[in-house]
Amino acid sequence: MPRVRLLLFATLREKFGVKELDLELGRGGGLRELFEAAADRLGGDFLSEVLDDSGLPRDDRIIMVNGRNVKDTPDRGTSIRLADGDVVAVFPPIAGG
Amino acid sequence: MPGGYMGKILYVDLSSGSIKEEPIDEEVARKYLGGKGYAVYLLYQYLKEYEARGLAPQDIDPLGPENVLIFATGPGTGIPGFPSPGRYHVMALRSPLTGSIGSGNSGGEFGPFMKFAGYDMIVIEGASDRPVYLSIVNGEVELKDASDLWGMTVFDTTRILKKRVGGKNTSVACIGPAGENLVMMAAIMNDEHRAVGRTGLGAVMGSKMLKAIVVSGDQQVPVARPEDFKKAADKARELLMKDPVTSEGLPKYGTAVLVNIINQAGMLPFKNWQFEYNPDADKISGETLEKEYLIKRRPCWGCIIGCGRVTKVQMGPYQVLYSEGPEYESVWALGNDTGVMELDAVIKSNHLCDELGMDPISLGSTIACAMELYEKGYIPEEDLQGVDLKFGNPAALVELTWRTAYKSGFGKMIAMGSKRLAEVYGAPELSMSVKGLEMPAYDPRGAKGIGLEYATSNRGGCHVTGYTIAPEILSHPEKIDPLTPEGKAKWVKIFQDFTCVVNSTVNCLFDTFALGAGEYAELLSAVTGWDLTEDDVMRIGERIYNLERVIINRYGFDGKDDTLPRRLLEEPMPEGPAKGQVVELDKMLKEYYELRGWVDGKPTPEKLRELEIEL
Repeated sequence: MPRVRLLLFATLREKFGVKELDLELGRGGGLRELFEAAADRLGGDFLSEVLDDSGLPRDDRIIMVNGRNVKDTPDRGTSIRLADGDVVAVFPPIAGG
Repeated sequence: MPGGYMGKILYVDLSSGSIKEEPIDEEVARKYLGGKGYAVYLLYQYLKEYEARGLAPQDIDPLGPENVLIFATGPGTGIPGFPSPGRYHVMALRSPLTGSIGSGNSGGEFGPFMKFAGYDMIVIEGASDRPVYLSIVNGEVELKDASDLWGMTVFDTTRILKKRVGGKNTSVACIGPAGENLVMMAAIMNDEHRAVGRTGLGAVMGSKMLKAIVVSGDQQVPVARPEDFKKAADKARELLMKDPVTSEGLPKYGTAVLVNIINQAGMLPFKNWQFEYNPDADKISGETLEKEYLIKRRPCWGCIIGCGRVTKVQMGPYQVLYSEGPEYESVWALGNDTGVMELDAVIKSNHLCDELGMDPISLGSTIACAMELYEKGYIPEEDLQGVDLKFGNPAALVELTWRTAYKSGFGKMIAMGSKRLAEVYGAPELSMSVKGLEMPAYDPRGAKGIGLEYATSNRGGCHVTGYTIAPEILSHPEKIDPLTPEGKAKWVKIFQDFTCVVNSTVNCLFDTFALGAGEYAELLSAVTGWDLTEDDVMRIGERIYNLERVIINRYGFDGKDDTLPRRLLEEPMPEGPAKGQVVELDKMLKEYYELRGWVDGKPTPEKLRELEIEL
């Protein structure tokens, strides 16, 4: 069973009071399964922080799998199967200079 | 006179002591706006005049009396309700750090208060033979003796001059010891903690023995079409409040919130760009800063975003009871790039940069360069005079910060900047700079567009003249793949041209996360009374960028200088999401020159004619 590390930043970190979670997924699990596993620990409203109404990664979140933004993948990361040791980072909209 | 302008340029010749004023030329303002654009126009006129007198551009000494320094506001500066109207731009014919054009931008209060004192621009010529400061109080201009201020820190100089002048809208721009000592990365500081940081303009001020400019006044900036302006400003405000970056991300965490995301993207330069991922980066992140050091926020004048930080190190060897910042770039350069993970020490070093007047980007990068030179055996132990220059040493960082400002001990070598330092020690490839300006906190092997921006920025290794990190990493205004070189030339050109508009308006680049050229056209039309379209605005930006390029061409910069350090072109990224990547610069550059209408880094006569640039 793959173990995946989920990292939260900025307001998400503050809202849920954790920086990171180590989560175990069923084989072949993707982002949705990861976020559902996190919601089991963080509370149901975590899902609405990361997924939109249709269950896709929210457009206004920056979600990276091993440093690659899922928006740079052909299907916004929905076909990604997470593997043991993968790191998923989630950011709210942020910027700087 | 169009709205948005006070209508006057102040000329001060420090060699003769003469002071005169001239009206803003509306024809020039229509073509170049104000701020950076108008200053670039004026600088080009100086070049022509010097050439006519037999002084070739490449013979202009950046620290000689022939260098010209221009403090420039724009039509948006100082207008309540205009998006972030608290900024101003400073330019010089030449930077002592790079030999290219000098250029920097700052927030705080100085810009608007300069207009309230009666002037759109202040042009400083010549050099004084004794310390002086310039006092401008409601149109009354005097050059005054600054012997009592010479040697003082930025904070003391500011407090004394503010008290001496009094009044409500009083602000001071000055240099600290670093500028006086002609440190190559010396900054011009205003309102104590705000910096015209880049390209060493503090040293230009120091070479002229101009310690400070104090402005004070209560004049109002005219607006040509008040009703249109209210509509445009309300719309801009609504957009800024609706955008989560400008309404929440920047106000809450400041710019240092970028540390974690850029690190996660595997492009946060670590230990002089040898590595691009730091497992400990969260120790110096915006989140940590907000949680453990933030006291309150301090916005620039009139800004509704309010990203400015007020911070405090409560106790310990790096205690600072009041400081501002550090910004993302400072945290990166002084912390991540040097491997120093103690945020206390980073805040202290940043505070010393403010107090003594230095650019933390160039300073931190030069210290990081020295650390790599030392660890690889290029710098002999005896040169360091006791400083333990290994990566990650907070004591070395703080000690070299103040020593650099005073050119004391090994600080004398840091004061040269990384390009000269690395050349002196025989390893020029270890300076992470472009055209002599240290690059900022994004490794372009992980985002190719910003590499093209670094290579082609007129002032040298710079991110804020074409911030393609917005689309490449931050999904603003849309997401583009950071790892492909395809299509990046177009993005870089658009961002560079648009940023010229921002820096000539003059307001804050952060507005552009929510506002586009259309909103700028509406705001500027309402303020000035001209009828500008989105296309007009972008054409003005392109014109400014091209004339600035013409100037640096005259100094000898051309296609050969539009490049990157060898490490970024030839050494594949060692680890992380961009592992194996280098910057495919040649391919992007070719496309960029075609889009620009340039050959070998030079605008063609046809392009200049098309943009109505008269040489």
